[in-house]
Amino acid sequence: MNNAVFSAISTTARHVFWVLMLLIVLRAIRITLVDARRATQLRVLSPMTGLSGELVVMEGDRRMPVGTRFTVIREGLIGASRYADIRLRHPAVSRRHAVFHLTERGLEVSMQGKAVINTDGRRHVHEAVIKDGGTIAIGPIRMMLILTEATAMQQLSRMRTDEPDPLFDVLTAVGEDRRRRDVFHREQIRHEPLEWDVPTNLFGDDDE
Amino acid sequence: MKELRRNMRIVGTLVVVAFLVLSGFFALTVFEQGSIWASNSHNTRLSVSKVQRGDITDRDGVVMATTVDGQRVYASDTATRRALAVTLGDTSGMSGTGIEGVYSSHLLDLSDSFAGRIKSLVSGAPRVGSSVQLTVDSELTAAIASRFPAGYRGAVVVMNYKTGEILAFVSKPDYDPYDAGTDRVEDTAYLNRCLQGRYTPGSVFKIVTLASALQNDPGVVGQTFLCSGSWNYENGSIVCAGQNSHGNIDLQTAFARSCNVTFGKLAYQLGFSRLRATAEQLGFNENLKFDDFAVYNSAFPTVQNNTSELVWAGIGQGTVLVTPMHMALITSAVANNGVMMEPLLVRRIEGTSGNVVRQGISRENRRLFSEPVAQTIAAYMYGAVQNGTATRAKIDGYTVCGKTGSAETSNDKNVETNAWFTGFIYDEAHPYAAAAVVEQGGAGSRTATELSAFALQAALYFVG
Amino acid sequence: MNRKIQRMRQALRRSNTRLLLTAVMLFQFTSMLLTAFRGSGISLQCVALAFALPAVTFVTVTGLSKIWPIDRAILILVLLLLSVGIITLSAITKSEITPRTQAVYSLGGLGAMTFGIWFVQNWRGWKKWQWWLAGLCVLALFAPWVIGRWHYGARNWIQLGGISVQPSEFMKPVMIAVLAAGFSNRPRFLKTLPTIAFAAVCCGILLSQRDLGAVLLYFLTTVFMFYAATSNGALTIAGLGMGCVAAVLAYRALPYVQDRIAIWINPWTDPQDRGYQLVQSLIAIGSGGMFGMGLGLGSPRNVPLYHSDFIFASVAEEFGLIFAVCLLAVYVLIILRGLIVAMNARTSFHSLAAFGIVVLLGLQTMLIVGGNTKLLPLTGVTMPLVSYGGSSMVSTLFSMGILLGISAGNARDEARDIDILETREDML
Repeated sequence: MNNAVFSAISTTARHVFWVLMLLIVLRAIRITLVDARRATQLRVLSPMTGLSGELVVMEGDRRMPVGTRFTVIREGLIGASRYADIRLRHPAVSRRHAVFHLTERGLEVSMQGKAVINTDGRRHVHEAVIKDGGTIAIGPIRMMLILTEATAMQQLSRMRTDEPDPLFDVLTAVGEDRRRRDVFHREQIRHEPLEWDVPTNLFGDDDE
Repeated sequence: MKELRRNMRIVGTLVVVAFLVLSGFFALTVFEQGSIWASNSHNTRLSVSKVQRGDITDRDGVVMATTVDGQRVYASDTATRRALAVTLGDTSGMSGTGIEGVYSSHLLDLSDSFAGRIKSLVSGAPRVGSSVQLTVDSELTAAIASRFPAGYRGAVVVMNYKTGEILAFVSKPDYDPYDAGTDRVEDTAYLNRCLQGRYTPGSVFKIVTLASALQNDPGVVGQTFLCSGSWNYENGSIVCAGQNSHGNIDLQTAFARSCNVTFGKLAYQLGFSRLRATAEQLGFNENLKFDDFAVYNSAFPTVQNNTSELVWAGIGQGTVLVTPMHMALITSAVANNGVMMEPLLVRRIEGTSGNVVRQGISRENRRLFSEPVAQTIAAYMYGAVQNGTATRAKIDGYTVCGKTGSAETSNDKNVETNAWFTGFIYDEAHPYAAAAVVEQGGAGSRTATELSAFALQAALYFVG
Repeated sequence: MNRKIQRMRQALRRSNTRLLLTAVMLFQFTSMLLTAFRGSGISLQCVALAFALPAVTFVTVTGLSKIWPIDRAILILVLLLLSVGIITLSAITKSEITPRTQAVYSLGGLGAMTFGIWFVQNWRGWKKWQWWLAGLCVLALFAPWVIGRWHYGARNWIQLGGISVQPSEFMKPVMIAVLAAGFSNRPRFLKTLPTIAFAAVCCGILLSQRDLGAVLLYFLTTVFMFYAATSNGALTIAGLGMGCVAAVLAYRALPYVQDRIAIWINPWTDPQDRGYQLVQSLIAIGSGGMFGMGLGLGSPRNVPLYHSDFIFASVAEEFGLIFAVCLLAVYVLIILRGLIVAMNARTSFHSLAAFGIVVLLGLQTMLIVGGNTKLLPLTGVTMPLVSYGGSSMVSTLFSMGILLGISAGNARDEARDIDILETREDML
């Protein structure tokens, strides 16, 4: 192509390019802002991520009543501090009591500083592993660990057989009576399998 | 995990903010400086939006450098052009001290308003930089340059000692600015020997020794010295030039006749630390940085190794070095009752819309001598012109004061001395000082003195 | 509660990236087509690329997001950066080989990226592999001393077969993996020491190879990841302080550092020699002005340095200041989205890995932009994804793959969380 013609085309085209790029960036900013807003919404609705189970207080005192539930995530900090993932507000618990993470062996807990944890009868100073159904005791508080997959399936099976279930009683002790009754009057109980289910619409579901 | 998130939030914010700040700086810098970068002479592209370099004019408004059709144009007369080259410099980055280079940011300066800049951005018309008006007189510079002895190297500085304005810089060898960057330019021609040439001063340094003596021992004015042509001290001796023997003389005569023996004895009497203290008080061993330019440091030895060094330093030999500019500044201080003015090269910088970007203002830099010392030195320098070594500097109708110097630079008898002269016209209405050095020019009393006398007369003629 | 779950499901949905993808494909097509007419006659390679670039972009985005729930916006922006590199190279180089090689490297890199996405989602035992990887990293970094050669004043390249490879680039994801594994689970300070020692060894080797940029990057990334993992502000500042001391010592002791700083302070005084690259870079950026000189109208170059170290200047020259700033914005967006991914990760390893990748990307880009525009000294790092260079491209894409994989994992976990909540609510 003639040099002059190409020059002319290119000089005009350069405006096309910076405008396109600017539009791309603006669109991407918009998308990111929306996604960030959604992420915070999600955080607000469900502050815990990586839900894996619960610690339920089986024995406590005035400050830590029986039946209190703490969500267990995959990794985090147990303590009284603001940044603890399992926040136990009780004088017997240090600010940064122990670090935990979930493995196949169970909940691996490693103590920070001079903290101490007791499991079924034994006193641990450095590390401990708690299995599903095991207990943790810190001071006057004793909690049972319930891991999620097991819980739900247990619940389902117990529902059907009507066996007495002490855990079930504890779990529901904090709910309202009416709610408890409602459960039995539900028409449908969802039996969906616990696999991840992700929206399959490739380009997103909405149009803002 | 909550802690982890909090920390990541902090560091993440830091990194993103730093990135945004960097991007902001980048955008701002390019917006401001972009056209200046593009106007650089190393740009091989054909660019639409270049900045046109502003004019450089002399003190009378005569245009010394301008841009026509994107090309830089200098004086049409070759001799003038070459004479001004050292002051103006070139646009290829060869000269380190030239105005074109040092003030390129002003010559390409976008002193327009922001709106004006946007307007020219849209219309595509080239912007014009500010114009710089210097204090030098182009005719004076050309005249002195043409009078400089052909084939010799050296420098001449002419300045106004009351205001500090530089009236002329002449440095030889010179070059044609149109030849800048090619191999037609002689070796070292780009150097401004006025500012960057460090020479052995020889007898012009006696001004410093004299000042030191007057400061430390005012009674020395009444002292009589015996000069028998040579003087022996431990491990060495000093001789007067031309095997002259001056006999019994007072200090004033010794200065006028430039008696080495006397001044050697003075240096010896003063001692190293006092002489050095005076020298440093006058600006030796100091990188003189002025607003308009910088001068290479003059050197006085910092440690004394032996007596010879001290004695010979007293007469400006040995490892003593001085630049012509510094010499001119010292002389100007003598003429100005001991006060050195801040040297001015740039009179004014004006934007395209007539706005004054910068105005050169005369101001005192520092006091080099006390008033009585300065006046004594001035009187002695008058004596040197009246009936001493500097008689060639006389100008009819004017009181001229000066000092000559013949600096030995080599033990080889075949190498001539550097010829020095520094002096001034003692007149409020014509406060001109000059310093000149001619490399290997022989006796200072001849070459350099004649040249300086011419320079001062030319200053009277061209500047008024 | 049902409503709450519904709202959560809604919040989980991904944004519509259709428009973004279309715009990017349009840009790729038009600019590539334009460069085809640059010289005399039509460049078939450019025409082929004009169709290939958008096609590959479309296939990659749709294909990969069908398989895994990755963050599509990051992927599209990454592909945009790759394209800008290929397009600019096509516009400025005289020979056609350079952009072709870049395109081939890009394809290889995309393969590596895909592998990265799969890998990080299926890799469980990172703690176990930590020290094997550390050993690999140290060996690879040391390799240039054994089988490498001096190249532009630095000895950090090795030849494998016919290709030049830069281990310091390839080992970046490995180093991040080692650091993430070493700093995971909030270790006590003593437990972090081996990891810090590893980082120190790497920096030492790189310093001996005169790869200043890599040293700076490895060091800063380690410091930032350390702080994120341990919250120990005092130690972090101490570490930074030691780094500054080391930098000053390096300046005193090593002449090539002094050289770099001297050129940085004033490249204009020596525009014929050492400051030449930087001066030409500034001139190029200045010539570009706001809107660029126009594709193919800039000064054509064949000096390899312009393709790698000064590609940003060439982009600013051809496309203009506004475009260049937008390009930087793309990097910022990738970093922001990457940080969101890091925040949402379930394990500290994934979180730190995503964080490290993103911080490294940000620091590297800052170094190269600073170096090109005289805001910082030249350090020899390349512009991630845009610069010409196989090692850097493949390793960065692999890191991006890991980032995308983590984002996919996050999406999965998020959905699972909602299901668990739902199930539990139903129980009650």
